[in-house]
Amino acid sequence: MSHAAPPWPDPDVRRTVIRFRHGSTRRAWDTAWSHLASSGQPNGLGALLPNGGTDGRSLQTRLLLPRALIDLPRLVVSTRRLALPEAVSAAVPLIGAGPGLTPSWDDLLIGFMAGLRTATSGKPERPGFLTRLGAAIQAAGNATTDVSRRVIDRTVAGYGPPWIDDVLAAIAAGNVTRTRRATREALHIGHTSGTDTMLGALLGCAVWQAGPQLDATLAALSCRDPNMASDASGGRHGTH
Amino acid sequence: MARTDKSLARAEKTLPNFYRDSVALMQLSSRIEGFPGITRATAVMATQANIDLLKEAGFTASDLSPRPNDLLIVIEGHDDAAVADALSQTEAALQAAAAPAAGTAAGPAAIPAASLAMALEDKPAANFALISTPGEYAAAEAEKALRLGLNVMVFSANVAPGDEIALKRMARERQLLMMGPDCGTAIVNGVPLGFANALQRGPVGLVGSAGTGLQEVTSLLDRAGIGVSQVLGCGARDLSDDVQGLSMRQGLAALAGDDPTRVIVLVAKHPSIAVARRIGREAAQLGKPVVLAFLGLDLAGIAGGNIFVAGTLDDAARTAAALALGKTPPTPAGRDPALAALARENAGRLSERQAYIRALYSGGTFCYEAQTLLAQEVAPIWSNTPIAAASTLPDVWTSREHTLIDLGDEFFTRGRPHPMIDLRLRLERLRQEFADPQTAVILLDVVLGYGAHADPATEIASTIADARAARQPTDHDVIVVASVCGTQADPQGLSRQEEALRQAGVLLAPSNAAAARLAARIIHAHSNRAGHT
Repeated sequence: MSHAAPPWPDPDVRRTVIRFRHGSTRRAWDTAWSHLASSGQPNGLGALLPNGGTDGRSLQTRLLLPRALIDLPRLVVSTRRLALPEAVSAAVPLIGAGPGLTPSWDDLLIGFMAGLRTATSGKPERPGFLTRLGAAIQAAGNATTDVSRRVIDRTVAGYGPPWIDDVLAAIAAGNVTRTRRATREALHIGHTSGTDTMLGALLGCAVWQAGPQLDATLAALSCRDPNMASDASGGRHGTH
Repeated sequence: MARTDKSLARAEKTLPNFYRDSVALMQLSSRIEGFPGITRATAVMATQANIDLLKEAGFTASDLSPRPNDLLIVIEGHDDAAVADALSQTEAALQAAAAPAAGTAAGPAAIPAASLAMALEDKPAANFALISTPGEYAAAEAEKALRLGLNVMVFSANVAPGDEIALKRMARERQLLMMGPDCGTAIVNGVPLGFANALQRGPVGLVGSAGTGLQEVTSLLDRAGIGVSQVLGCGARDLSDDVQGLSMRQGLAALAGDDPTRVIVLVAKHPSIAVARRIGREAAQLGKPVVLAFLGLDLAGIAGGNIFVAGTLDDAARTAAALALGKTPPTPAGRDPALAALARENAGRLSERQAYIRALYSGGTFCYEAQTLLAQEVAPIWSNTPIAAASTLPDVWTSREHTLIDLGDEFFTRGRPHPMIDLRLRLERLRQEFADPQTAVILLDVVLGYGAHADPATEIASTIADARAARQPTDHDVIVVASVCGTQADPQGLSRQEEALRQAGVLLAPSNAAAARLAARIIHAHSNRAGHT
């Protein structure tokens, strides 16, 4: 009997390339972001978004948010600068943090790595950065649940969750209709996983792109710290 | 960093290798926080990061060891008794949901079986394995079960076609049943498996590759006072050219040799015509009447002798009921004057702009059957699972013209419970269709039975009331037509569910086919009134 097919077998996933210099790609990303930003998720990292709901916010989410508000911008800013030690120190301590069997922070990292993978062209250092960041996250896998570790392993191997790869492929194609549909589907996954992973993926695929998207995104996320947006373009970065 | 308030009482507990759905955990935490004397409560995976966050918030001062696959419960309150009581209630709620093997005064708790072989050692008389794992693992587990001499039902989908064929051949060689993969419904020796209804035992045996199709036929038989002997599923792909109906043919042979079975019904949607004919030929060799309900195929040519062909599920039930009672099967249901009158009476509620049917199905077979019927009545039809004259809906989230959606399709169920269990997505779409000024009729199935939502009609009725309230006073009403698939003995109660829908102004049809026809009649009556063609 043949073995079952791998769960995420699409070989094209590893070849998705997102380039914001195409106007249609930027519009598709904007579409995905505006859907994400209006999802109103009160729990997990979706609560960081400007329209994150507050009704029904769990204690675990309330505990996670202050740390995420510091470490998420650090992760993004250091990744943008290809500053590996700082990116690792921002990513790793919160592995396993948050609600869910794949805790929220893990979902974010999974999406972030899947997004980064689509944007490594352009500078030769980027693929190596992603490989080493992925290895550091994978090495910390014992800090989280078995289920989450398995998803991390697969993402590091180049296969993100299929519903996230669908979104990234739609953005790469600059297809707004497909992006809207894939985003809507992704946001329905799990309880907080869809929102958390989407947040990571949209940040990941934008982090090395030129253009205002990332700054605007960071400004929106760090609305309690408006200086954070300028950090993204080379100013001081957030610290503890 | 810890800011533990020493005046508060706290209790902590870890449950090894334990997890519940995160929504359930949050709802539980929220409920516990509402208990008198409780200030904070949480239930999270016991990872180091979560423990650190709890410590930073002063929620725990103890030196917990991280065990990422364990569930950690922490409760804080004003006194020890309140906290202890809340903790015990939390544990009870979680354990009740888990229903593990409990220890008794006679001995310690049994070790949960970690493999089929262990389970068989514990229960050597068992002869059946139900496998529900992610699809990638299901084939290996099914193979192990067959090698252990067990009959198998694979609830999981996404098993590779090659594996399905190999498993079914192996089962045939070993004279074991292999139901599935993607088999959601069966009743074996009176035991319901997966989604199934509470049915009387009786003389009709069924084999089907269409889960809700089996539920509809058996429920309609039950309402006619006729029970079932066995209901065997064979998986959605069984009647394809590749699989050649291996499970259906084996089930057919098993029912042929089963004395309590006097009438056999075979149910499928879009089978391969060659496989359908092959099964028809094999059925013609049996000494029992066989009703073929192969939706979407015109098999009239092979009717005759002991073979009866039904075009719809309700026709199959009527034919089987008559045969079980030793009567001549009735002619197929056609234009029902009562439905036509009901349609005319209600069409007057519609405005000129309201022109389209919007069908929101939880049962894939129902969506398929409705498409076959509506294709003869209205056009154009769009669907996420189109057949025949229907076209593929470009954006499944947005209806256009006449739209029939199967919300149980994999597209909607990835990462979400099936819409028979969780109505949220369907209710959201119901509100959306209500708000569309072009919607004339919303067509629904409501599936009852084991495994289905505990009270779907109340949820639907409440959403309809909200959607009506949200419309402008000048807006015309939307007509909702539904059929309920279930029996009086189902946990939800057929008449209770029907009454809730009726109270919400829903027009009830006795079967899915009748509901689809009623919807079409309303559109026709409305067109005639408005002078449309």
